[in-house]
Amino acid sequence: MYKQTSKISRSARNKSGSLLVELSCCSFMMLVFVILAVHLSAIIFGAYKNDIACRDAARAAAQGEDLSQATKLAQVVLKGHETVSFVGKPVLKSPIIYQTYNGAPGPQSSPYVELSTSTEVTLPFQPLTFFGNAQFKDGKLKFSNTYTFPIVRLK
Amino acid sequence: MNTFSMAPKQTRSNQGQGVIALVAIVGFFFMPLIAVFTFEIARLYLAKQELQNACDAASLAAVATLASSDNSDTTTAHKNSIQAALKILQRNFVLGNKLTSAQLASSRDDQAQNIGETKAFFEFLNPVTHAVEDISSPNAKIVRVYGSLMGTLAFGQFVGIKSLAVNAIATGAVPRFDVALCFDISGSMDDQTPISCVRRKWDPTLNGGSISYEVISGNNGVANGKLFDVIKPDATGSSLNGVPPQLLTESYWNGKMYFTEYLAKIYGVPGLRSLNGYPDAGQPPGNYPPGTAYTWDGYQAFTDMVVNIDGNPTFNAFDYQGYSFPNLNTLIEAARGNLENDAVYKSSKANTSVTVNPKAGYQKAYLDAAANRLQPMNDAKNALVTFNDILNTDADTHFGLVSFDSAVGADQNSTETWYSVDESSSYGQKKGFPLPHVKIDNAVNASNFDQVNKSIKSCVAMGSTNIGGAIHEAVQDIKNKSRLGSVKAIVLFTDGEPTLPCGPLDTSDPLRNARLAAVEARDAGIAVYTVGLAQNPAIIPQQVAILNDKNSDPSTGGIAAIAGHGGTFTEVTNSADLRTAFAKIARNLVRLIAHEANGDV
Repeated sequence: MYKQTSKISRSARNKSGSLLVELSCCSFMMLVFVILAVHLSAIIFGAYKNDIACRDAARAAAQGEDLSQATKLAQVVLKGHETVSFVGKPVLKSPIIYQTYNGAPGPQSSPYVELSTSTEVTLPFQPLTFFGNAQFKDGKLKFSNTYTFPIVRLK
Repeated sequence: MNTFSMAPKQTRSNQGQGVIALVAIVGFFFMPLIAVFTFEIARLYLAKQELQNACDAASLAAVATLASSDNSDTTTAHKNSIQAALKILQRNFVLGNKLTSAQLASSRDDQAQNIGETKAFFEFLNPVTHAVEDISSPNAKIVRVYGSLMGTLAFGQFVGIKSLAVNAIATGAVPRFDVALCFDISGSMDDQTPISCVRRKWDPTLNGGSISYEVISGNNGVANGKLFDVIKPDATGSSLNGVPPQLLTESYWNGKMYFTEYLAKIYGVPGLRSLNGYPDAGQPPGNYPPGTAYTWDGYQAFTDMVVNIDGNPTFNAFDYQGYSFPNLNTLIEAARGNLENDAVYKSSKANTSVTVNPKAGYQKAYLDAAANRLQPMNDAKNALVTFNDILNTDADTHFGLVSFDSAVGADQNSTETWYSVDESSSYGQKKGFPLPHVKIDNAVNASNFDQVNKSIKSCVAMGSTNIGGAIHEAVQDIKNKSRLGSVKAIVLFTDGEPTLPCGPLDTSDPLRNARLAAVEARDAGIAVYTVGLAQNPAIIPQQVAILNDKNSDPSTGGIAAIAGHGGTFTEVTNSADLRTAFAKIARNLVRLIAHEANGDV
């Protein structure tokens, strides 16, 4: 009876131990997968956010009548793209190129504005470097993008 | 018991190992695969989005270039727009790689094949039928860009897939325009025309009796050269005109010169230009024979004012369409109609001073040649016609025209009655001069393009400057007959500022009248693009004050700013720059229209 009880008890402990080991292994792996998935999502999301912010800023800058106004318009648009999250503020890289050819572009040229933005995404682990020229620094992944849009409204 | 004790242990152990193995397989094989797949899809989607943005920029550049192209050759205009768009495309990036090597594709199906390659195909559509048009077609007004890029995969090479194609389509077009042109044809619109003021009289001592032609002097010196320099008018310009209606008495302001027939009328004596008044074709000088009319020696008085059709301050010689004008004498006699036939040639005594053979058409040849020298009127006409050509080439545009001086015509055939030579002395043929008003029409294909251009070319300089009246009429035209969904705009060209008489919104204050009209435009959602031509630096402050696009105060602001909706003001000091100014306005009207799934724009 004692032995039987002992066997049953050992059997139950073995069963609990197996479950714990299984759960621990699975949980650990799932945790890794979840972290990787979150990072992957963050990377994708950050790249898209920066791309959209850069595009909108370039489009807005192209409506400016001079470099000063173009810069202001771009900054206003970037301000609108700011969010409080792991994705940082999109920042305008200076200087903006505002090329009007002195108001008289050649017949096969279009005045244009070219600007670059960068956005930092905060990640807990060192990620791989993907999406173009994204760079890892201090646990942050930095995305940069450049767009050129034609200036429509000439002074 | 063993069975009891062992069986559960065996079962749990097997299951546990199975689950761990399954999780391990999923975790280390399927999850990475899914992650890589997701990553590649996201990366390609980002590439597509970036290529789409680059194509959007290219299509916008193409449309903007097309809209501002100072070229009515449609093939050249379209080719230029493609090249400009390609340059913009090449400046953009996809996945961090600059599209410097992007090249034109030969057809829609000619897509990028090699890794890293980018191709773009441009086609032009008809805005009404949406059919693809050849680049030589004037109906090719919508730009569509097909971009293709062979993007590299980050991990695909490990499974033998190195690249995948990414495509994008962008469509750009200028929207439908309903544009009313307000064209200032006031008297100052020919102030840069080279003229000569001449006293034609009989000189019995010259070659045994002959007509003499003396270029008189006024307060500003010898009265030949640019009308503006001869008169030196106030900031708003001179009402004196090179061709009918000439309003010769206006030379008194500020040249202090007198038209002889005005003096004759005031003093109640026979005229020197013609003893018996108008018509004066075939008439000798009023002092023939001597003593019949006062010659106004000692006065700054003249009988004739002609345009120096050779373009020089002092007329030398000019041939025009088979008619010879070897000297100023010939110019004067031709302008009067004394070279039309042998009878008038002799009866007018032109045969004593002019050696050309008279023939029918001399007077018309002079008037045509003179019309070609009227400045800035001619530059303004050419710039407006070019502006119309640009919009007609590049957009679905319906045109309107409101030509104005102190008044606005009722329709395309409206005229304003003046004496052809002088209003103050009622000298000349009393007749109507064109004051065309072509109203915008919202009927299909009723663009009014030809009517507006023809009407612009018919205009002559006369009268004063009722800017408010013109804008008011243009606003009413657009409100009544514009198309649903069109971009509505007024383009105002003036070389002056609002003057009296004015109305209808304020009949005593021309500036307020103009600003109230701008408020009407604002309330109707119509942008007003203003172009001010300053022939005199003194007019610039006044023009800026009333035409500007900065001050939107309805009481003190500028017309472009008050009307809002993106209207701009352009100040031009040289009429030769008007083409550029209007081309810029055409470019400013451009908008990017999104590409719809069904191909509509």
